[in-house]
Amino acid sequence: MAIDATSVTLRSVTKSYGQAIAVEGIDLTINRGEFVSMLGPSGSGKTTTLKMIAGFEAPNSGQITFDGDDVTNVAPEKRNIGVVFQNYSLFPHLTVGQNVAFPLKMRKVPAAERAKRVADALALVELAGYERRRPDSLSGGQQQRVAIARALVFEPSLLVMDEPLGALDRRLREVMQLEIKALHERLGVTVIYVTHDQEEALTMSDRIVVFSQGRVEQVGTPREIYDEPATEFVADFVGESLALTAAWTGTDVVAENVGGLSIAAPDLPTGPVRVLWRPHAISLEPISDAHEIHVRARVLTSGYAGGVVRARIALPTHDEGIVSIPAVGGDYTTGASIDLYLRADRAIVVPTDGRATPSDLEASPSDMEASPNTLEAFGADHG
Amino acid sequence: MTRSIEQTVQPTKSLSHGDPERSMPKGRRAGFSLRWWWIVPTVLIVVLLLLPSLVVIPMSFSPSEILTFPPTGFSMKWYENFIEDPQWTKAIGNSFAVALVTSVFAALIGTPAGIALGFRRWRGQGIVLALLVSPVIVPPMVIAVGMYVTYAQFDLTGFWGLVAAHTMLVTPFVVVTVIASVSQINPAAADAARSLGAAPFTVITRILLPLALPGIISGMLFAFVTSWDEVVVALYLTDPGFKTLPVVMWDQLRERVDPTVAAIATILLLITILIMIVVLLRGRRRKVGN
Repeated sequence: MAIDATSVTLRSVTKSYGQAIAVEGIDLTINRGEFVSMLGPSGSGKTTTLKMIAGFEAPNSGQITFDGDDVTNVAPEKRNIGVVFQNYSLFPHLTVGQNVAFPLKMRKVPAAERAKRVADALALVELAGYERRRPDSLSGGQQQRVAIARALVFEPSLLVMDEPLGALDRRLREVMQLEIKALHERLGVTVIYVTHDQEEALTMSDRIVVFSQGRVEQVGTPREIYDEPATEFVADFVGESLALTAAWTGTDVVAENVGGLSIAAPDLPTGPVRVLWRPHAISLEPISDAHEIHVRARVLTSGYAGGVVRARIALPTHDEGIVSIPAVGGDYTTGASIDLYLRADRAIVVPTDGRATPSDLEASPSDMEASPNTLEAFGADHG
Repeated sequence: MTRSIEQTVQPTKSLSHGDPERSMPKGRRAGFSLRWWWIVPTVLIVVLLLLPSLVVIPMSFSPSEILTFPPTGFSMKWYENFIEDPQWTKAIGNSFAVALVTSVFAALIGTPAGIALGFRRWRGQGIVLALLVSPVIVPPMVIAVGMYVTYAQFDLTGFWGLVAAHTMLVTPFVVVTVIASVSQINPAAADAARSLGAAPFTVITRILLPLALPGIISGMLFAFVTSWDEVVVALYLTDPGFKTLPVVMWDQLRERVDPTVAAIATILLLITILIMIVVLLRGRRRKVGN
């Protein structure tokens, strides 16, 4: 297969359905041959954006270009895009072979060449010889592979996937993630991959676009998104973390009952912030060569999760969090105290956005109450 | 104890097991059973409807000049009478022609409507569907009188008048069966076809129509059977030169009770049963296919 990959650009693209704004002012450039994931919770606008790129929806305003050519109002059948949907969209009245041959038939490819290319595409997804099977006789994973073969057989310059593994079980999903990644590396096609699974996005992508409430929250490599989240939403949505409510005073980050953390956030305006630590920056014992913040947490509930104990804990700052602790020794039952050592050099400071996110529901009321003044007050008590 | 819990959670699995101990508490499972509730209506239908209908079969083979039960002997003369009397053969031809043309027209106008109503949800759908199935709800006598008065104004009687009236009566069947099969289609299938290079018209001919076909055929069979033995509207819209089979039967029954009617009724019964068997077998094959 010889694929001539395309680049995709969105310029201030906005789409609303009546009063409801689905996406607003999206600006995005996807490079030739790049694997880009659109990550976000349901209703964040990622699928609407994908539908506009594929041509199933037209934006209310803004422009979409492929390799510089304006395709904003081009019909989907003229865009030369392979699309893979979440719910297997194979045609049930056609065989596997006829399904994969469909786009070639639409392009009037002669029968002999068609058969060869169908066989090649099926071999690519390791389903060689499945031509005569019926879609409903295949497993979910096999059906999705046929859908991928069908979306690639006509050598599209762009492959768009809308939660393609969403209906598969976890184990199969992980296998397919690597297969899709390998296909991308082999064919060099530009891939836009929509998912709400942050782990999937981190594993597969060259770059991730994080969506929230119809806007792009952050664009970056998986490492940037994970290590340097730009907003509280991104920090909460991508990866596990332990978060403290605090305030940036201009000289230090100060948290209630903990005091000054000796962390600087020079890029932020003074005011309420959230300080986050990824699991690798948290330890149960002090490490002498790094500056660490010691907090004593109380276990609210805990459960054994195979190798680790997952505990919901209350922090002195009135924040709650969930931590995984190696299940060797120690008392992690309800009411127990745990000493946590948080590395200051690995702390991530983001401005408080006051938005409730799934892992943040209990903590959000105190976010709202936090004002620089009150925090100054107990900063003085402890400092 | 644990075993009985398994039983309630997975009844289908336990039934397929050969283990006698597992299948023992079968009847007690939910405390009471809904399984036997089919008995009352089924027995009533058999006793009060099916058996009396089947009486026409022995009667049609009776040699006596009037309809009698039990039959007094065996004779095929009423069947001969039916075949030899041009009044009957013409009527059966008329009925067949009306039913065939009606079911084709109903498919032509009902299929697009069924696709429109079944494939995607939209506002006002309920009202449109209610209007489309109204022929099934409005009393046939009301329809018949109304049609007679208005159609007669335009001389729309005889074959085309009856075809027009019947098409309106049976289109709901096609609409409903097409909705049933189209609503099974994954809405992403149309988007997928577009992305693969199919223009909107091609999506209809290559994807939607083939997938709607089982519903179209079932609807046409219902339409055919309904038109074939429809009598109320037919009584008003036929004229002396053009009568369908049910109309001639009605005339005959009023004049004299001739066992030819029993012979025809037997033939009608046979045709209807055959068509229903075809419908049932098709439904079954589809289930096996899935």
